[in-house]
Amino acid sequence: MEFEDKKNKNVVANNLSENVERNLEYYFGTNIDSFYNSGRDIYFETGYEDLFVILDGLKNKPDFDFNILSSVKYKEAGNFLLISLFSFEKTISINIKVKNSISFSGLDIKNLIISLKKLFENSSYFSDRDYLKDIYNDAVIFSQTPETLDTFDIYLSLNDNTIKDIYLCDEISRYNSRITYEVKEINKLISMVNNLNYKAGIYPELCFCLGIESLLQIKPPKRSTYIRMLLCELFRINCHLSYIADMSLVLGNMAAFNYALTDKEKILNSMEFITGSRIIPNFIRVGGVKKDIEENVLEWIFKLIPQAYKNIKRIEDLFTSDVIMLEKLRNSGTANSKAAKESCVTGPNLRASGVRFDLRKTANYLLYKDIAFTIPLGRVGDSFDRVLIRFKEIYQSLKIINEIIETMPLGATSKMINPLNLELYPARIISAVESPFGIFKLYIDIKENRTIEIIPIGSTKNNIILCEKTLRGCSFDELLPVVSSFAIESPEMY
Amino acid sequence: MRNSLIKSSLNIYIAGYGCCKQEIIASSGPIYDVSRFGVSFVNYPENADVLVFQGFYNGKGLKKVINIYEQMIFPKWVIALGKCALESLSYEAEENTILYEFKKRLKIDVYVPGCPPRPEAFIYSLLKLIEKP
Repeated sequence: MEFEDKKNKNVVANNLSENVERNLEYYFGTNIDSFYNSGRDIYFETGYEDLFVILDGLKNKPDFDFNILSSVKYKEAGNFLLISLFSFEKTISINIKVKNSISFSGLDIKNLIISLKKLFENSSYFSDRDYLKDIYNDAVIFSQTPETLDTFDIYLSLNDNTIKDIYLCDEISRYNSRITYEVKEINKLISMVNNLNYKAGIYPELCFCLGIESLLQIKPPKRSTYIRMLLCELFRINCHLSYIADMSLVLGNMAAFNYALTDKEKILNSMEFITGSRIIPNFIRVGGVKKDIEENVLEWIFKLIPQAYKNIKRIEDLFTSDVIMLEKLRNSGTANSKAAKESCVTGPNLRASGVRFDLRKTANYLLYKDIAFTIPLGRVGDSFDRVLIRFKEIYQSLKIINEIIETMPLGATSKMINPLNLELYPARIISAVESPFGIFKLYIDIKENRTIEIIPIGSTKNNIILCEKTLRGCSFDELLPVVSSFAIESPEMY
Repeated sequence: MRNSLIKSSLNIYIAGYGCCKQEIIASSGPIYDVSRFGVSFVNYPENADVLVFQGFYNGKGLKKVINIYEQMIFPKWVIALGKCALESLSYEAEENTILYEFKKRLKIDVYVPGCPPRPEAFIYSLLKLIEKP
């Protein structure tokens, strides 16, 4: 009975995307081409002259209702512009690329953003905002001066002790924008991709391989999919533990910091047993994984789970029983579900605001539909909820790992494919996975002569938008815990 | 004499962000415990003796590192850590570029290869720096 329900949900999702596809063809059939539909992500190309008619239609026509701007990716003087819209009602995103566009200069982008502002409120956040440095200069906190804030400077406009306005300047982290690579063997690209999320390298790898597999219609063996899920959950726990360590450092709880690092080491060890590397795995391949996991390693991880649960519960107690920590975290930086949806935040930060949205449940990727787990939700959406949601997600991940090890099937770990002979015809794909920082997407453009262009689309910019919105009106003392609680750190910004 | 006294209690400033920084933080944890060699981490360049150059950098990031290095007080040392940092230093820079200026101003004492180097490698590099005459 349960299985049938899950099956029905997937059918409904596919029907929704097909409906959107049909409506798009009906309304803008002549203006769009290179259509691609992966179930949750719809991609098409259009000319610059038709762009605003299409955006207006997508926002205002009741058949679409795509009212949230999730990202604008552009490369100045690089002939590239990709706009993503999202609808929380349909849980589908639409990605529009402006084809054979004029080479964009800074002025063109400025004009585009001004025009976008009439349709979408958030659009101003995606333009160049460096002029705000001169306006918000009452106080400046440079990156790396407080621990854990590595990737941005904070410019503040203050009214006594309250924050009037804030600008998180991410100029030093505009690094990984675009990879163009000529490949003979497609698996060699994986070692280039995994740097796109330096805290959880498995997710870009997985995203890339899932995209190529969907293009070539390869179905990896069941055991390899289970190994992929196991690694994903281990990386999720690792990321959340490093988040907890950072938070406890900011709040000055050294006991929690030391406990978190000790447990993180155990998770890192288990990842090292499987992949051979602690941080950068380079383990997932097109059509499977690099190698099989030995039985004794699985046993070792299985024995680790109850111990890890006990230890992490102890860290949670340190957070929840400490009055000073509670005072610092509770009722500060509250982001309600409406604000979180408007800024298109995904991942734990969205779920902390009480919105039930997890790609592991909604999209049908890997074999998460075979495994029983729940999506933890926050109540208020304050800093305390954002910390607590990470603990709850760790418990769910431990549960998933337990079930994976108990039910892991035997068999091959990869398809017998010769990567040198893979026929790659020109195509454009968008694939997405649920990473610990939110939804991580890769735009993969396969050109002629086996040249592949990859552009990451992460949720870092959306986290910045929400963080800036929530901090306006807060007191200066709340600044560091609130900014740290959003976990804004990933190099996939531009 | 002064150098040996300073080397007995090194203050480290970590510039940049990336995977290497995670391993450096891991080395400060209870399992590797780098503080047993008298090493501590600081957040202000004025207090630092050693600058760790690691992670991803664009032009503005490199400028920032040069500023940080200039704020540090003599004697000062630099450790270049990880593939990303070593790769950016391995190219020959043209004149009037930020990388050229960076290479001209900063004298790197210890190079640590790896992607990312393990915490043991980072601790070993510190010990090598302390042993260095």
